[in-house]
Amino acid sequence: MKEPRNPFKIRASEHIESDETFVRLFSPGVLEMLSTEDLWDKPKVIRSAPGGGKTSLFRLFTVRSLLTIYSLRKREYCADLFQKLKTFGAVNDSGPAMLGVLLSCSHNYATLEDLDVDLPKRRRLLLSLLNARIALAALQGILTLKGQKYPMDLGKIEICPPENVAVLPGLVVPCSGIELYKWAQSLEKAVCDALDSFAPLTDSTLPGHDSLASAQLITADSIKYEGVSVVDRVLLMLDDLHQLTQEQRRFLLDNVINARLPVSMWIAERLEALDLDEILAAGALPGRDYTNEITIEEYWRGTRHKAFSQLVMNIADRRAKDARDVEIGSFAGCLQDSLEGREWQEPFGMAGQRIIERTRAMAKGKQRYSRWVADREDLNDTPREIALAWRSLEILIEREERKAQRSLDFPMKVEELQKRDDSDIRAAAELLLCKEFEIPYYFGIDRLANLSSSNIEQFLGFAGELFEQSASAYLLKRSSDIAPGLQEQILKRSVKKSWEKLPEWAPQGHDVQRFIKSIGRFCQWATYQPNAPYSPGVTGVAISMADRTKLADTKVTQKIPELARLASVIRTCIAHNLLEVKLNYKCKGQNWMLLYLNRMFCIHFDLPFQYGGWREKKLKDLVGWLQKDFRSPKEQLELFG
Amino acid sequence: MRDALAERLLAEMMGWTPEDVARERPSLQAMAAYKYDEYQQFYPGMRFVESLALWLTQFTEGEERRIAYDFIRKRLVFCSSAEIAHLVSMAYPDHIRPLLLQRAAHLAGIPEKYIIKVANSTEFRVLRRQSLFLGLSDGARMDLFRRCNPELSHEQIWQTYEISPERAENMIEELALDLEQILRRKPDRDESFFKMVFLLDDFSGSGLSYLREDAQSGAFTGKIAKLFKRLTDPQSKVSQLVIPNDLHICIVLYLATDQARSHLERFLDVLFSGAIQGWSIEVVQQLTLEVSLHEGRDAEFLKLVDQYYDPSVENEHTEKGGTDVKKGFAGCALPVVLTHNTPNNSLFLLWANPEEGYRVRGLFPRISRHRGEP
Repeated sequence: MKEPRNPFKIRASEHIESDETFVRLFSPGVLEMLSTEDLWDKPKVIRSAPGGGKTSLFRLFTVRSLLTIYSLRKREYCADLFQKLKTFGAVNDSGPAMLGVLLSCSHNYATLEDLDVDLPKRRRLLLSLLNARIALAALQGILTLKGQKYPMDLGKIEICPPENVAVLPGLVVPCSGIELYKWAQSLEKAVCDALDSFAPLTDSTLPGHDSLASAQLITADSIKYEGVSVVDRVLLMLDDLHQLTQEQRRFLLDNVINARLPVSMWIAERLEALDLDEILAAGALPGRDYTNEITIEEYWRGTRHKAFSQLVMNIADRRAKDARDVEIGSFAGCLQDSLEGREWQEPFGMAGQRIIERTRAMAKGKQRYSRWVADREDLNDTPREIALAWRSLEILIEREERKAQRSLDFPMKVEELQKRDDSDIRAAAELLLCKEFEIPYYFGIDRLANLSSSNIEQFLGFAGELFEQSASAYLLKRSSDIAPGLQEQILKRSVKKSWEKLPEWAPQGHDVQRFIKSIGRFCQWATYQPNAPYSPGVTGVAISMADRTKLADTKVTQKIPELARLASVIRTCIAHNLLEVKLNYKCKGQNWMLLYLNRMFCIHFDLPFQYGGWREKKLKDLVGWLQKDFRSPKEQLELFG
Repeated sequence: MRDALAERLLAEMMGWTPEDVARERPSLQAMAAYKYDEYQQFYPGMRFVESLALWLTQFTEGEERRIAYDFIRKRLVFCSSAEIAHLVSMAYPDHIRPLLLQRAAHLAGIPEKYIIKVANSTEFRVLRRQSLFLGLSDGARMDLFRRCNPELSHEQIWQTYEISPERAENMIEELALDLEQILRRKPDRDESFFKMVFLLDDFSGSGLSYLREDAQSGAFTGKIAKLFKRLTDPQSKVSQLVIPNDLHICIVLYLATDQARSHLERFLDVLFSGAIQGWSIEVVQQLTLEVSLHEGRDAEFLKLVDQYYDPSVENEHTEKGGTDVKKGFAGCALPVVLTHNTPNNSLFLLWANPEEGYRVRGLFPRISRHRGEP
């Protein structure tokens, strides 16, 4: 297969036809989230916004991928992946040790709900269609594993389940692979015929089942190939559960979790499948049994952020190496990440000069700042560092000046300045300085990783735009490094495009865009105060957990339509990773639900990427933002004279 | 030439910075892969991006190249083989069959709205079999047309409008046999004829090659005139296929301009008037005047069209168009390229073939049907 020009543009793993390409592009770091003791024991539910990497994760455990990894295990790009899977027991030194059966719930299942039969029958039909497809997929997997042809060699398979296995109508066990194949095929056909039928459905035309019984037939002990067991374990993976109807999804989750199946079971779905109450509880309520559920974006946030940065860097390098006509060893190496170069001396020098003049004027005649100013005057550093140091001082003086009770006009100690001039102040100084003097702020691999808001597809989107630039420069035989200014320009352009497309794809797109715009503008207003009160900046809002409960309570929202509208918008924002939610955050003696902006919107609204800066809001404020854009006090004053 | 080399050459031609390349290359590559690379008259090994780079070299650096490049990005209409195949597949179900149903409804005395009833009627089945489908050129893709429409008999589809006497005789014999099966009786003498003749072709820019007045004699000439003459000449074996006063001729064009359609409507009216029972034109995809280049909107590029021209292309064939071929044959000013060849009605600057000795290079060089004709 011809390598793509820009491998970052390949998104959904379904679109990667070749197993080798898929394996080459897969970063073993992703498997970190599966490293739990009970990996195979309990049913696992994996959720994310679109592009989180659920399907790629599942595809990795299919027989074809495992065979590819095994055959490429000596290659540099595959060695880590092989080792990691070996520790999981998915492969061993003689090949795949498990049978991964992957089924997508996107085909036909939801249409079963349209049949004119009662609910129990529809449920039984759903189970029977799943049973048929699980059996067919498992048979195909076994033959692929043994390098045989499907369905020609099915005769070599025997299914010998234990005697107490649930009875499947029409199938006598033990049976051969051929018998199971014929049974499953006719079962699938019968269900599909029922779906296509215009005639009234009768019990005799509806082949219903009571459980996912076929999962009991395909256990590691039951499957024999030429009389011998073939794998140590079987993993059943149901992908795209969100494609089912709510009723089907709920029934299946209850059924699967309660069934205690003899095979390992993983389920993947988008967050959009959850209702507001679930979405605000997913993976975050204290005391919950986390081991069964992983919300991918949630997993990478907080303390694992560094690991996520390393993961996306690895993904980026793998993609860059896979590109046609370009030889870029390290993607991070293409992104210049320093403003200490010669070309930046003058802009920082000029900016510094302006800031120094302003700060001196502010401190003039005030004894209490004399030592602080003197400390800065003595600085001997690069123009950038000097400008930043003076900008920090300016913020600190501004804060001091705004205090209701000022200290006496005695010189304050330099130690006090050093204590106050912490990393947050420096970060705020950098942001304010860059914004004021039009110096690039959004550049470098770390900020690119931040920008992705823990979503791999989002990362690939922005990295792809930057890679296009590098590859183009390489084509013209120029340096493939991208200067900070150009990185920022490309990222801003790309974010703007995403912002403009938002109403087109998001449910209640215009409401969602207006809501995020109001949050963004509010954060912008709160961040760009002369005294940088929430340094380095505000990038989110919070409501109390009590308000959150009100929002998730349908009895309340049914009575107040505006609240229902807000609840729905927040649900969409969280489901699509447009807002990052953090529950039960303790502050000021209260519990809060924090809603941080997706980091790409931080670029759109010129905000920093750091978390931690948020402002509390009442529900009525947020409802108001859905009706009217946020206006700063100054804008309101101008508007009303 | 390797892709990267061609792209580098293109970037140099255009004086692009890496940012320009990053902006333009994805869409150029996508369009090349999607359509342009399949152009069948590129010489072996040549691909779109290379042809584009070479095409741009003939313009002066800077503004001229920018104008030429913008024209390709914004105004070019390239009809791929998949698109042509789609138009071919639509011709019968969407254009021809409705016409047959309408006429059959009239013959059977069934209201036209009862489509299934009409389609099941003997009148429709007879009329469908009494329809003859002839290709006006290779572009008619009669092989594909046949495969797309299994309800038609192979014996009523012929790849060309030139029919030998033996073939004509055979067609009549097969028609009689099939009608006997449909009617379950021997057909009458006035039934064993083709009552509908469909003339199919892929593209018409001006309509002149189908029908025009000879400048000297004033008589009609062109493909349709020639066929019509044979169909109505009692001395010709081909005339046995039809009875003129019970004949409807329909011209089916997969792609045609407004100009071609109005020309044909005007001339067919004169040619067929009183000679046959009826005629019509069906265009599957009409190219409206918006597609052609206009002085106001396209003035910049038309200046290049005017400047980059080689009059040696003109000959007695091009004269038939009534003007030079800067804007293509008959001054159609079309930016249209078909996957198998660029029509001569398109701009000379698009199809000029340097291998034929012109001093101008076309982006999609055209192979002339025969020497001396563009």
